[in-house]
Amino acid sequence: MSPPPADAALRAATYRAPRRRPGLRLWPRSLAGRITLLLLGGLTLLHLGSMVVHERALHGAESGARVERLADRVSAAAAAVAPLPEASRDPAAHALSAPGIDIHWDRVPPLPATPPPPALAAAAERLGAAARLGWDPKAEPGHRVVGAVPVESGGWVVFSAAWLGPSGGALAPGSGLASMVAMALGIALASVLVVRWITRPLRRLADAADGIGRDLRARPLPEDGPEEVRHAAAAFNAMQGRIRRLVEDRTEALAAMSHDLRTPLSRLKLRVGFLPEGEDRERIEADVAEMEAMVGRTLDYIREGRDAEPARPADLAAILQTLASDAMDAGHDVAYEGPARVVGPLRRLAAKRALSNLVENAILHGAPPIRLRAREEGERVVVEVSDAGAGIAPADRARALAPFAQLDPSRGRGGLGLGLAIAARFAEASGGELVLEDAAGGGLCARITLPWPRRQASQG
Amino acid sequence: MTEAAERRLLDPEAHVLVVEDDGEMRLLVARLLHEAGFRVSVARDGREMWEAMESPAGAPDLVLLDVMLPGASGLDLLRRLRERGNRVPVLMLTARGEEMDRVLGLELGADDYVPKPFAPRELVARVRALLRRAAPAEAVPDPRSRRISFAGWTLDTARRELTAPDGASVDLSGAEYDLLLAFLEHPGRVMSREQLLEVARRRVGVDPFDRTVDVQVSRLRRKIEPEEGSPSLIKTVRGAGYVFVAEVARA
Repeated sequence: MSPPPADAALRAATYRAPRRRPGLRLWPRSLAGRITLLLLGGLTLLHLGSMVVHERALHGAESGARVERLADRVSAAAAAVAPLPEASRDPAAHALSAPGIDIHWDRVPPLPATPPPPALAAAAERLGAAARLGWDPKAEPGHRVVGAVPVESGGWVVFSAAWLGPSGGALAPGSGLASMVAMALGIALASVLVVRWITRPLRRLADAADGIGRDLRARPLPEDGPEEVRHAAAAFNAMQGRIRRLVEDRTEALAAMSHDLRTPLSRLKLRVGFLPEGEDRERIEADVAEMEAMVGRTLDYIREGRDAEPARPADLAAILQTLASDAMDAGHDVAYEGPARVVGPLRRLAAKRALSNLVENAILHGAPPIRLRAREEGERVVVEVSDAGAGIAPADRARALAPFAQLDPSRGRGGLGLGLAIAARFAEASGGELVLEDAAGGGLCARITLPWPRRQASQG
Repeated sequence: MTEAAERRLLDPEAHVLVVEDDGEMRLLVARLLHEAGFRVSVARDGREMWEAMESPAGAPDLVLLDVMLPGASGLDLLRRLRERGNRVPVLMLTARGEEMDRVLGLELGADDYVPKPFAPRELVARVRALLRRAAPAEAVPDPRSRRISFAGWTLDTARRELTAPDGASVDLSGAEYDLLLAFLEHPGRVMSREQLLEVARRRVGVDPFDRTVDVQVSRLRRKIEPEEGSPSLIKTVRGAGYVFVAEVARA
């Protein structure tokens, strides 16, 4: 039934391929797993080894004791039987039998005078030079060792016994298993402790490193546990502090610069007002307004990171209506569509800043009509700012949300590329998120989702 | 109407004192106000301000005060001014858009607040509005009592924040806030469109039409009478204008 040689070679080749797995699956990937396996393996080996040694010693001792008992009994039988008349020697000898050894008396020995087999050498030595000892494999079990000892008054005391060597299972099988189970439980307990001491602080470290990207002001790691872990936690805390100070310094610099720009901007704005009306003046005013917006947005962005405004119940619909009204008064097609009241916990000024940035973004980079929507969905509220412009291609969306990123490579269209970043930061800081999607009308839909726990309307 | 107020109302050349440490800014603001028809004095710090206040030329009708001044800060000067019992209208200027500054200033006794950079037209409009307010009608609302309540609503004039009866904070645009304040300062009085127009004009940059007032009133209504069953706070009076019917109380 063997396949043709060509096939076999093919099969052998294909069969071998799956074997080349990277690494053995038996070796666990986690530290906890590895430690547990090592402990289990090592301690199991140790336990087995000690059991073997223990058993050997035990058997050795026991079989030595058995041999002694046998020899004593046989010698005692020989001595007891010697003064008796021949007829009563056998029954007397037999009466001295015991479990495991059968004693008789006979005129002739059952064995020739050959040297005893090496396994029974110890017994033979005990019984004396004249004793005869041998195996009888044909006898029933329990009587395979056969021997004879001469009686002074003639004849032989003949005995048969079970094998006089070490037997397996000196300890009851049950007790071996129980000890193994007890040991496994002990190892499991030890592993649990080891895992807690070592891997938990390590996991905490990894989580903290992960979290630092999201919130630089996260609490420092507790510095406890084994010394190496403590050292790592301390180093990590120091690093977090350094990064935080670095970011704060940069943020401070940015804030100071933006802030200081306001003074010359004020002067410019005033002076421009004195220029004669005309295109030049309009253009300058527009540029000043643009600079003002950039400064304002930068400061908005920075404030979102450090704002201490508490969340209080606020009407989201009112904010959207205000933004729509202001935009409409400036001549844009912006309208709010949604319920007259949408009340929930909100950082009102931060929300207004963020949404205002989204609206400005839609005005600057999108196209009318621009619609603002809000609706409550269970424990969340959804706010959408959508326009009918060109939208943002899905591939560019992640980049669009990054601060100071502008999708237009010439960076000339106005703004700093912060509008979406401000809104995204606000959403995240409030426990929600901002996503960019295609609007129904073909433009961009910026959707902010926020947690919106309901409360009784009559609470004040 | 007090004699001083009457005088202010009739005298087209109200006297404005500009306290600003930045030289160029000081000149520009002075020029702006002068071209708008005011008589202008300038001061670069607290000392010069006190001098101007006591000058024989006449105390100013309004003080334009920059919050960030060398030496005694603008807020300190304001506090000392009020402590002396001087009620001159004060308009604060500041480069910091922080809300705390504004609230603090208004609590210390300033009457209004303009963040820099400001549009020149806006500054002039605010100065005019403040001067007009200081020329009082019968009941001068104490500028220091910052909370006004009506029909369960509360308006905090320092924070410019409106709170609904259920505790929710309701955002208002600049025009809506000014309009609401105008109503609250004249409760129970029928206000014509022109009267309300003047209020709205301060904010809306474009030339206002009659329609603008109607639009602003309907926007305001959408916020303070949002639902079907909401009590009616502003009533239309055919041919005459609007009237604010709720009871108004100052905290």
